[in-house]
Amino acid sequence: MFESVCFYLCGGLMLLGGIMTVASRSAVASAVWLIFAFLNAAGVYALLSAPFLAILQVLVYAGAIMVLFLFVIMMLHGPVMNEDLRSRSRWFWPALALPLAAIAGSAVTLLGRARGGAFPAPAPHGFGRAEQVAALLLDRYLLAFELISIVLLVAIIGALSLGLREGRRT
Amino acid sequence: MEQVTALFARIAGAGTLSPQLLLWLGALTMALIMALVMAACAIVFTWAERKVAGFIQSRYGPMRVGRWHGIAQPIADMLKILQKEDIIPADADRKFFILAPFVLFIGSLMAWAAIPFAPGFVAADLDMGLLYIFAASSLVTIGILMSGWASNNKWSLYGAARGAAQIVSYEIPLALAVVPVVLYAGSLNMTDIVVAQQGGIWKWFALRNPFLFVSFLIYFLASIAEVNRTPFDLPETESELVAGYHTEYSGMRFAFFFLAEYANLFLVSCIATAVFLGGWGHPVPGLNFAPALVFLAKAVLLVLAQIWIRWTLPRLRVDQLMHVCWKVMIPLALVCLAGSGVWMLAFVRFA
Amino acid sequence: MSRKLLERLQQEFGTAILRTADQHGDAVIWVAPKDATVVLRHLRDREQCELLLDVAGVDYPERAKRFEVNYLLRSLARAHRVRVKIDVAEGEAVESATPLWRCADWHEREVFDLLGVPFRGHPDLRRILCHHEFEGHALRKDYPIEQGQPCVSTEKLFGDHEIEQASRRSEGVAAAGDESGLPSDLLTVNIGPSHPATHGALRVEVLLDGETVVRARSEIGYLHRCFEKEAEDHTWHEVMPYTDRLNYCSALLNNAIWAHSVEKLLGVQITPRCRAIRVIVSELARLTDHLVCLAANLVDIGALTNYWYLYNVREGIYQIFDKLCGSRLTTNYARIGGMSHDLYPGFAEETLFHLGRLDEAIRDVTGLVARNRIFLDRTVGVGAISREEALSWGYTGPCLRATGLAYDVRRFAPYFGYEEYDFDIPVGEHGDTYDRIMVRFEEMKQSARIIRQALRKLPEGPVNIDDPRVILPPKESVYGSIEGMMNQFKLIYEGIQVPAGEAYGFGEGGNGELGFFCVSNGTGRPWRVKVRPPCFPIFSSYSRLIEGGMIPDAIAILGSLNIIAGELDR
Repeated sequence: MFESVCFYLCGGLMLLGGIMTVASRSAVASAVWLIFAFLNAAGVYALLSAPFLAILQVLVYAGAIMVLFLFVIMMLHGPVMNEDLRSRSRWFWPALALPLAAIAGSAVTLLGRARGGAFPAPAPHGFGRAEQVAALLLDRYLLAFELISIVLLVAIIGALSLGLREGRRT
Repeated sequence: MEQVTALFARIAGAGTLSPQLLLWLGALTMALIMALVMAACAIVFTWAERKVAGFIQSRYGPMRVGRWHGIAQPIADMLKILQKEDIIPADADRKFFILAPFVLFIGSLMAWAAIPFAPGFVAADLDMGLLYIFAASSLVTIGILMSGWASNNKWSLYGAARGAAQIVSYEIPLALAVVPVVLYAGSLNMTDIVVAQQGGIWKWFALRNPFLFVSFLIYFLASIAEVNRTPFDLPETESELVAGYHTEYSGMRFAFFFLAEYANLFLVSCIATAVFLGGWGHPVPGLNFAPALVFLAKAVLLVLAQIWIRWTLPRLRVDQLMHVCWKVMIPLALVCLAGSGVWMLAFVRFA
Repeated sequence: MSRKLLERLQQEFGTAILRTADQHGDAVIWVAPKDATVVLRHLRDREQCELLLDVAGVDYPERAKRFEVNYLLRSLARAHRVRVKIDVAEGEAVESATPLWRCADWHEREVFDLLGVPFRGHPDLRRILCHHEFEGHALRKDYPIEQGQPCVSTEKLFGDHEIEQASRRSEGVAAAGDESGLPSDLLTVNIGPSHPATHGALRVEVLLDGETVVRARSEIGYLHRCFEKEAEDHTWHEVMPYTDRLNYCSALLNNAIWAHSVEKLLGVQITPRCRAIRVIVSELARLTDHLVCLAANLVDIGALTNYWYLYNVREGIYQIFDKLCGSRLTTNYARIGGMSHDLYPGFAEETLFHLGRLDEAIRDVTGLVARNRIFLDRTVGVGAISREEALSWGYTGPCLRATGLAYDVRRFAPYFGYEEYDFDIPVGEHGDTYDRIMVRFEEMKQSARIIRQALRKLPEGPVNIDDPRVILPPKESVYGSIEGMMNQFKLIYEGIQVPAGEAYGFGEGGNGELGFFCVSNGTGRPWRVKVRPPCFPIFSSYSRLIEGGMIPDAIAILGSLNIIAGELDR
């Protein structure tokens, strides 16, 4: 009971955060709402026995990436950003339709499964803990994991070299 | 928390309270205790800071309020600050201006849940306690950025930008410094980490091997940067940025920043105690009756060391701050991580 | 010395030199406005007058050529003291000396502001001390002293165009074609007038690229109260307490040098005991000045504790001042022809005690910072200025000595008998913030040395000269005899009758050469007093020093230059 209440609360707030992210007029408000949505997503993960994911969600997304976002938004001139957001893009309706379709699609699937009684089995004890994630990443998906690291490394070096070249020109 | 819940169960008599209710009661009690600890450390440490600063600077510090060495000065300060006018600048972003101190405060309050003060005395004995603490305290940055931006003051914005850059950067050596400990303890659970250090002073992770000792120093220095204190107090340098991100705050809202700052100061010391200095473990025979006191004593000593450093050293410049972090601390922390791993393979027999 | 120089100049320029004179050792030459630049250039290049001390304007409404502009020059190598006088009529322009000495910029702006003399070829001829909305020229004799003007608007120091330009330069080619329509990336920030690091009221508008200062421009005058106009409205004696408020960190030095300047004009010799007392109190004042500067500078760098170590000593010296003069800050102790009164009994012991504490404090503080890595990183190479550049900017005092030039007025042109004392002139090497700080530390040791010597051989005898035209009669004679009472009455109401003439009296102040250019028309009140505040030319170079550095550097540099707003703005 208690867990379901928490789940719906977190889920609802996450949705609210998501909607406010797109609906907000100011870029800073959008970013803060996005953080709010991320925190609630972390709550949902925690309830779905994925504590490691939940903590990473807060640490990486809310704590680091969004800080970077806020940083950039604040360094740009506030009023300019607000001005840009005030005009409604012609992509507004298509952009709205896409998530609605996605929601409808997943709702249909879930309802169909529920009618058939084919819910997936509950996760085994200890699922989603650091050990399991580590075991998967460093054992079964080691190659993919390492490849991603290399891609990220290349990205970092690329960003650095681009930034340095621009800096040298001045 | 289990202990607290058990205590409630014993008081009420076995079976009279539902486990759900017991859980709620226990959580509430622990939350209350943590909030009190936070308030208490703000009170104690402001006084301690002023007395230690006074001692270092060949003066007395507070001497009047409360008869004995101004012991009641923090309470007087608190009463004063409560009565101050609450000013919100006309051009400030009201919502974020009001929200920011709470975000900051909640971030540091949340982290307290996973600190093990004594065997079983921990609000939430999470499997990933260490990670959780870092995650919770990373929210502090958001509070700083919000406050700086919402104040609509260029100095505040500079303070916030410096604060965010500094905290995000120093989180890396901070986290890298504790990784070797996780390697040794084989767990991210705070209690497990402390338990792994029991049985003599040489079991403390700071003293297990030379690499870990360097890791401890890196952690300690990076933690000073995390809590924005001299020589890393760039986000609030009064001689450069007036007061940094909280320039425009007054009264109770300012008090929240203040409270969070001292709570964070104690928090990073508690983490250092638990992770590097054996938690409640101690070499003195006959002191086993009060493990929490041992823990607190170690943490307080670390706080005093931070106060000592604050009143001794000048402040770094922004670029030097980043230099120290990215070009000194992070490589060193990585070397220590690798070194510790090699040391483990060479000298430690796995059970 | 000056005679030879005058002969050389007359041979060189012939009739272009209208007149010459030797006033108290200063070579004075009159030139026509059209010849001014040539003569000044010759003086700088051929006679090694590397220092332009001040530009002083004097107003004589009854003359046909109403204004007289004095360029006060100094040659350190040849020990020349030259004053070039240029007479101009209302509206007639003087050729600007900014291409010759960079400090001429602010000095000429001041003459323009207060007297309304225009300078041709000046790069930035705006008001400097008065508000930009101020109408009229305050130091003209026909400007009524009571007439205030409410001025409220803030001056924008950088125009939009300039910001745009600076921003384009800082972004370079990369952003030249950037048509994003975003405003410039540079942030305009005001440091001051009310900022913790300004330690007074001054304003620096900076264009920041991140933390880096791209352009800076400073504005002064927030503490301007027109001391010089006030001085014209008071007797020579009554100016004394006003001098306390110039450099309020070392009021006794101002007192002593003001008295010295008027005595020069009067041509009186003070007693040996008075000379020794002035040396002692001047050096004590120098100590307080350096202590305040160092303490504040270290606080600006974040080393807070040193503040108490240094201020405890200053507190001790202030207690001595309190006993000696009845006040701690505004001492008003010197008198023309002597001192207000003799030292109090036990002065020597107390002073020696506090000098002991000073040694201890210097040891403690240098122990904490002198080899501290963070402190070195923050100060070494920060705000460095070369010797030549420093001279061109009109640096004197510790800031000049930090560049390696051992120029000290106490040695260059001894007064108060400084030549009898044994002391060294500490110099730096690189002219950076570190050297400025360390030079001040060493100078404090030397000051203590001088005080110890002076106390040891303090001569007995009267403090004041025996001259009823200058010195007030003792109270018994004021109340007891008609002559005494008349004497008192005359001196108080009419003031000391200073013979008509001019003199530039100068000495080594806390920040450098402090001078008073006094003009008397033979009455009890000065016709014109022009202060030569040491930090005025130094601060004019500030925006150049900080450009390219970061905000924290700017703050550290500001502290090390020791800008005292009371003296800067007068």
